[in-house]
Amino acid sequence: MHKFANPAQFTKIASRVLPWTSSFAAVCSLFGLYFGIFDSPADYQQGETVRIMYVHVPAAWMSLFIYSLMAAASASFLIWKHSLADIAARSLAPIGAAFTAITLITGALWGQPMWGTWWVWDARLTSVLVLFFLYLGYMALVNAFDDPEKGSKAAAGLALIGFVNVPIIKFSVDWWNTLHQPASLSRLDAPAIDISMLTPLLLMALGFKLLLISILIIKMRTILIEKRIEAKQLLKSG
Amino acid sequence: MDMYEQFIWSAYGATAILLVTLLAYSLFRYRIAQRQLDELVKNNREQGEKTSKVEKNS
Repeated sequence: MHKFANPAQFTKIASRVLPWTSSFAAVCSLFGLYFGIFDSPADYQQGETVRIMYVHVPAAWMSLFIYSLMAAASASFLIWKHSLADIAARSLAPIGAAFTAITLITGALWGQPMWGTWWVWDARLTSVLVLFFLYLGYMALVNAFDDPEKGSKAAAGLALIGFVNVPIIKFSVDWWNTLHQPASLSRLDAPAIDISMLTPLLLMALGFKLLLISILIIKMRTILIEKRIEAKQLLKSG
Repeated sequence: MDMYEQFIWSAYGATAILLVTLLAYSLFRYRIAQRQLDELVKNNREQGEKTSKVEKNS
């Protein structure tokens, strides 16, 4: 693992991986959208609004997954001082914030026709809102210091403390009495969802995951280039 | 689709807008950074050639 944690090795692997991840992300998302919008049946209770699930649920999974990755990268940065881990965490934050925003927006758009309200202060919704603020807090903190090292350390600390919120979000529907429904897909071998609905859901989840890898690679390469520019300018001036 | 069509399309639309914006912005920043690096490398090379010419002449 440590062998791959150097910028040159990363750039080499990333340039090979990027065309594949971006192409498969587009293919999976297009198939997911087709099956989700046109092919899957309407729900017997929720009717057509169930189609919001195909973007809301994968986006919610992504928001938790990205935060977990960000916390792992932050831990790796604090323990082993890997600069690439810090770059990964910095790049993951805006992507995670975007997916959390999608979760909140699509959730509100699903909540209005189903619950009769855009928002309720129940445990699941509130903890996801806290997750969104954690992402924003990370992005603000990482750029808040003149010394980038200090900013990275402070933000990594916040990411690790904020990780407490991840299991709270996951189990909030079991621990508290919430308006939000419990998990339908806790086990893939016995999901409480029909295969015709499971297929677009998993395709969209795969599409989002591949999109995450693609955007992450682009963002990390951008930061690496910016660091090279900074180093060259410093060398030139001094 | 039924009377709730607007909610469904709004959800898909919001998702598409956010993800496409994120991807486009990331690509835009990457292109700018790459261009800046190329220019810097080019300037350094030109300056290096000038310096070596001056050294040779002197």
